Amino acid sequence: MTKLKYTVPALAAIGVMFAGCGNFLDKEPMGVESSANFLKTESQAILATTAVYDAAAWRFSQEVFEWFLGDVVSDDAEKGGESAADWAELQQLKDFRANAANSISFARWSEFYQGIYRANVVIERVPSIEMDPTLRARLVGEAKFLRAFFYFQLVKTFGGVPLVTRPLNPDEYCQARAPIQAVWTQIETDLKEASEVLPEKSAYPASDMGRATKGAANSLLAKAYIFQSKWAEALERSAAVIQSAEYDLEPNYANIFKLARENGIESVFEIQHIQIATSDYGDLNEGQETSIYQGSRNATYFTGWGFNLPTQDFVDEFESNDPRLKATVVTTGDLLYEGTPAQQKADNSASTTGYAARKYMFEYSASVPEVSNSPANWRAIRFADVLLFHAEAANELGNSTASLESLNRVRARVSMPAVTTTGKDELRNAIYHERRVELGLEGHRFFDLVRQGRAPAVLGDNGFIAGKHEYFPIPQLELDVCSKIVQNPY
Amino acid sequence: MFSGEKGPMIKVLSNNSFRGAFSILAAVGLFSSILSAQDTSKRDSAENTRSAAESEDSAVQGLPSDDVGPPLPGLPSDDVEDPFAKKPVPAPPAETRVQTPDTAAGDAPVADRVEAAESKVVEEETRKEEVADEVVATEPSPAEPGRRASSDNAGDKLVELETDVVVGYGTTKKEDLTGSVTSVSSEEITREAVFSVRKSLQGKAAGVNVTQNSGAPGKPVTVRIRGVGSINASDPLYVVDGIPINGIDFLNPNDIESISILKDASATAIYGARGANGVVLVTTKKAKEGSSVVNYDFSIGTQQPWKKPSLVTAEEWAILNNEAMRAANLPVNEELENPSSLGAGTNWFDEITRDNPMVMSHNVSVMRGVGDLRYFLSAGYFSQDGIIQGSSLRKNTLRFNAENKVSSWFTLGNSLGVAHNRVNLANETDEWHSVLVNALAMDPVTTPRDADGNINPSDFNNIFNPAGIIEHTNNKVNTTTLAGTIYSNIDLSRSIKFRSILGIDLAMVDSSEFVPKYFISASDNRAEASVAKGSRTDYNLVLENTLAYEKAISDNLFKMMVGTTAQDRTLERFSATNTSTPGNSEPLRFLDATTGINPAVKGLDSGSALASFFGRVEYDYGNKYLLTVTFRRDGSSRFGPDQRWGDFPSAAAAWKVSQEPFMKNAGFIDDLKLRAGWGKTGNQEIPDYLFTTTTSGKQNYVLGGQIVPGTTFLSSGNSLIHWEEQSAYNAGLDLALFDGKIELIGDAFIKRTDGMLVRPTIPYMAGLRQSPMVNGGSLENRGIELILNYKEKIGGFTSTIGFNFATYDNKILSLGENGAPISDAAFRNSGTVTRTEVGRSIGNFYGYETNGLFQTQEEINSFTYVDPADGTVRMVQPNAAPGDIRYRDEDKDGKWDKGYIGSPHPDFTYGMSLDMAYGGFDMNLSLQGVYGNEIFNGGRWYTDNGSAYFNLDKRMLGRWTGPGTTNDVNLPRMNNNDANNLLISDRFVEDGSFLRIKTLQFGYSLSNPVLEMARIKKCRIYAGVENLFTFTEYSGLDPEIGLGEARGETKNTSLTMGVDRATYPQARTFLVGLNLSI
Repeated sequence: MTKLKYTVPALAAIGVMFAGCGNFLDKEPMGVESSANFLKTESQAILATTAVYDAAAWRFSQEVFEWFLGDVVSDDAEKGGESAADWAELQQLKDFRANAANSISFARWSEFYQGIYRANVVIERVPSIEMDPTLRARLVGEAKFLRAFFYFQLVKTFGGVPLVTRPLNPDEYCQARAPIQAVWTQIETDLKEASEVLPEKSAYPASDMGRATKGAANSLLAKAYIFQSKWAEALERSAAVIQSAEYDLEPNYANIFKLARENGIESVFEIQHIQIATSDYGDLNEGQETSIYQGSRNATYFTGWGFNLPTQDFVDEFESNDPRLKATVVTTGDLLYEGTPAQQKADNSASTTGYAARKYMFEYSASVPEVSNSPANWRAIRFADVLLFHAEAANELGNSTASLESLNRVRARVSMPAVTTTGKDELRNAIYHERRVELGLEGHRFFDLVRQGRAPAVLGDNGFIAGKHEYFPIPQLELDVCSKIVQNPY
Repeated sequence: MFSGEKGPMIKVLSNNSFRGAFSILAAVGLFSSILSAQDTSKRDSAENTRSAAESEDSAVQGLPSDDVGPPLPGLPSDDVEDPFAKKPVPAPPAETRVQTPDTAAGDAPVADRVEAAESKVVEEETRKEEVADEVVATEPSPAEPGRRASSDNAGDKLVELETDVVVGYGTTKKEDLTGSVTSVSSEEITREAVFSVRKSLQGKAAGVNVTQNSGAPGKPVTVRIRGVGSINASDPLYVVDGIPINGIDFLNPNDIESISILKDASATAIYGARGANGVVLVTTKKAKEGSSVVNYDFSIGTQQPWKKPSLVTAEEWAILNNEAMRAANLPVNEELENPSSLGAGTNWFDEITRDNPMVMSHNVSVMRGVGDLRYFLSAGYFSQDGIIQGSSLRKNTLRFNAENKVSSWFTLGNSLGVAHNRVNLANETDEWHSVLVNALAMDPVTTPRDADGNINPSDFNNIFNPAGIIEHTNNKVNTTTLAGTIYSNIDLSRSIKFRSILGIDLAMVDSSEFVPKYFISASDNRAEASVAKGSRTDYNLVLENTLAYEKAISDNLFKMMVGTTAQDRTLERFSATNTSTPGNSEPLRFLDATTGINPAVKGLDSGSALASFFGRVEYDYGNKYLLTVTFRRDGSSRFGPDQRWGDFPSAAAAWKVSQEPFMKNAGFIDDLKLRAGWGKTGNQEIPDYLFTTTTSGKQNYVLGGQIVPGTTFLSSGNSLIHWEEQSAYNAGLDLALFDGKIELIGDAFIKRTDGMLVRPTIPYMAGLRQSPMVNGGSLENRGIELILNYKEKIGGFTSTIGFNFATYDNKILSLGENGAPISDAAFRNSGTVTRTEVGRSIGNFYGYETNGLFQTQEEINSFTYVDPADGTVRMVQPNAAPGDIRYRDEDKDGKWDKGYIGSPHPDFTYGMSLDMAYGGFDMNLSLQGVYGNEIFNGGRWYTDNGSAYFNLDKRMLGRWTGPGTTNDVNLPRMNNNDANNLLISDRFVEDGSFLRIKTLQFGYSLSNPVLEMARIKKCRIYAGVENLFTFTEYSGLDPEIGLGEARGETKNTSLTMGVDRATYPQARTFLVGLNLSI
């Protein structure tokens, strides 16, 4: 029979084919590594550390929402946008009538904890890797800096938060809020340890530009002390940064936010971005979104969505002839982009305040197919901020000379007359004024008002109530799944 | 490959050599059958004298089917969408193969019923059963000598009890069914001018809910059988000619012999791990022995929108816009100062729709049964231009099914389908870029183009000019599908039959998108062109063997079947995007032409495997008591080594009451049968590898001005996850009365899903992007289904009326330990629309509750609460003004109440059909209805928007203009600075009930003498209308919404049901056609 002729070799072939199929159901994942194989080598340690930085560069929690809360929820800016309904949740925050389902506070909470998790993975696993010990210490130091950075963002937004310092097991996922002091202590510890091992900015090769530095760790530590009114410690750390001679003020204030001056002399810590035209969203995107959010709705090039509209009150804060006003606020008729021949005048008719924000505006040279993907770095800490911390700490400690020196260094850069008062209260007010105009629309104002205790006075008309609105509500989703969490008064 | 101890019951079959041998034999057989085609007509063996009906039954219905993984669910976790994306860019075309619908070419030739009856062939019924192909129906009866005697005089009977029905791994007589199975005939499938087989099931089967997600050509439909079985994928398993297939939209409806839908667990448990959402069994056509027919079917038609939006004219819009500006203390726009000069303005819906787009189909098939060889060969072409410009579908199909009876005990055969679909997509990507959204939202004052033909931007808002969207959308998806089987049947003895089948399902999806460089306005431009290409290859290999045994001992009839199956699946995806082409012309719309230096390249590969053992025992005592027991054991690579095996048993019994002696006097009862069954099924539709923790790459950062790679863990695997399990009970009744004129089938079911795979909300402080999956959820569906058919024949006049009704109640019992509600369906930066919570049905609408409009400032001032913080009395809506919506604050906490404001689940669904024939004339009418569901009408968020930023619906002319003018929350005041009235609230939720006249068709078949002269067996011409009319209160473009594809992503779950983001409406189609047989 013909059929039998086929059957015999077929049987043999099949027998061979299935002999090795005992693991038919074992399918190895493709294109990824399993947890058993990851974080065993030096190159993996570098990969895992880079992933921590990545969490600092997510465009919402870290940057857009930084000025959402810092500027819009203050007296410096109105929300703006397409209509009042655009990001209505932000308006609710601004009016201090948000509820705990607010997605803005949720994003900050959840994304900063993702960053903390990534840092914890590095801090837990990298020390046991056999590799160059200097590099190993530096990578762990970078992770500690970033962990402190994330906790700093959390503590200023929510107050005391659960303190997670290692990857948790499933039965540990729900942690009670730590006292605010414990969070500050953790931040201080991490930053002190980081400052011991991190190189100075100048010690890094150009290819590492953007990594955490000793100066960044000291600056953030000074900021943490300022927020706690630990003036002596703040003075010490900010002085260390100043004396390191690693940093100076950018000569021309208007240039600070230029692409060409990124990571420049005034830059202490910047969140790094570049634009890749081919990826607009998701993990491949390394661009920044503040530019399109704040761009004018009526711009000729790089039109934006018109958020963060400076208020008249903010504009009025500037002394006459303060060049920082033009570098911070766009008024109708202003030149929008240098070097564009046509239609370069700003039209703010879509702005409810008549003004628009300038600092993160696109540069015309930054040619991007999709403008939601800006190459501009987020200036997280710049040297002027450190100087003003130094001035504030010195004044609180009664050292008006040191205070005036730092304050007037900031003012001298923009040719503003030196402050001369030595009265502690007057000087404090002068520093407060200087912070508002020097650091305007960079996401500091609300948090400054709260730590200075001035929020009820300044924001009372917006609905701010002392003892109630200093911290934002903890996301309801977290309360729903972790009964140990106690909500903030809000 | 199969470990013997796992399936002791079928040890003999797990002998790999034995099984494998036959798959090779099958392959050989195919070739030999082809090679011998020419001379088979001369062969005439004794076996051929066997009943044609018998051999056909075994060939067509007996294809065992095996168990293979349906489509891989969504993208992996690292592609999780950024929830705050403000203006997402059009995503590359969704890479699902389901995307390309079926070309249901033309229309369905309807067999002349009278003639069919006379030809003594089993007649097609309005209800299911296996189908006498209309071509064969005209075949002279001598070719079918062995037909059952009962068939001979059954022509005008409605209930054909002896008809075979395809069930899992076999067939059974309809009267012997113990479970709930509905079958749909080829006639019903091809009658409508739809391109998708699945769409043609709409309204046909009780408990089978079919919804088109979009009216665009080539878009997928959603099929849900008996409610929604899981918050994960809830699509049924599709089995074509015995082989599980990832989707059936590649099929040509004209090639389908019958579709059986297995609904209850006693019927689906034989598919074990993948039976939980029901099983759809498709059988493609085969030639009958001795047949020789060539068919040609043609149809052509034109389409139009059945409804248009009622938007205001330019003049009206200017009046309302001015009012809104004044209310916000803003200057009135200069262009709008004189409304009466503006006239009607632009009708944007007319601008984006085509005039009379065409739909056309050609189908040619050949059926031959000659000697030992029978084959079916067909080719089909279907084309449809969508009613929205730019959308279209072209579909080509080929099919070759053959069977060769090699010897008295050995048959070899194959089925092979090839399909190629080319779809041009309209832009429905997201709420910002959708051409329909922008056509609703664009102001009527702006004209589409300026005098030079350039596309105009709006002077009033940042809405994308819809004409520009159409011009700049170049989004194509080509899908090539190759699905086939090779099988061999071996009669080991008179009562033992062996069957081996090897199946391949290969789908290749090739998508491309070109976005040109253009400048319309500052907010609508592209500085550089971009080209994106994506490919997806899904390859499935299935091998399956079954052994069937049948034995009658006096009044006892035993039937047994055991089998094994193994499936291996590989999924490969790849995409590349680059920017900057030297120009926009056609030759430059390819990656080769791009000059960008940062191309983005992505890949994603995964694989899965499934191994199974199964068996079924049927016992019939005295043709009165029927018992069916099935068992299946499945192993899946998607679960960890200790969790991968699951057991899925079922049992069902039926009692043919009408066979009892005490029923002898009730002569008007032809058949009365009571059925009851229980079964356990599973669901494994989750991504691969979730049981193990893996790294995620591309967590990159910029250092030194360059992107450097980062890798970390985003989630952690859970080695304990296992199958979702569903236990279902079904009770039913089959009744046939008055010589089969009336048929009633009723079913009631309860099905409970336990261990539903959920990602419970874990505390976010754990820092995982996605929480590990656990078997934490459970839900329940309960429901009732009724089918009522009536048939009358008076002289030459026949009429058949069919009615079906179904209802289900869906309830979430648990969402895991922490059970947090799941929010979904994000809407235009305004939060999410749906929420899935324990105690409610899946995906209910959730939002603010309104309470009329404030008429006076006094009402606003007196709407207060006591702030517990300081005891002060504060206003609940301090920012409101008269004419604004008043929200509820029943608990007096100062925060507006949010609650459940509607459900997308219908109270019931129903369908109706009417067939009439007289002489050569025939008429068909079918209706489909949905009652009691709600729709979130997202379109109204734009057109009922008091800021007048967007275009407005005519109803806004009745807005609040002063105290007492209206208290309707849908008509708040105009106010350009409106922060109050646009929240996701009950004002956007509407009743979604509808009744649609799906088909109305008139046909005429030329009489026999004429045809005989021309040697034509049959010639029928017809004319008809699809979607003639839809009765609904719903104010949107179409009440058929489906899953609301958020941001271009079909999530394939039911969490986004009923959210209308200006859904592409269904077309009304006028059609004429021809059915020719020679």
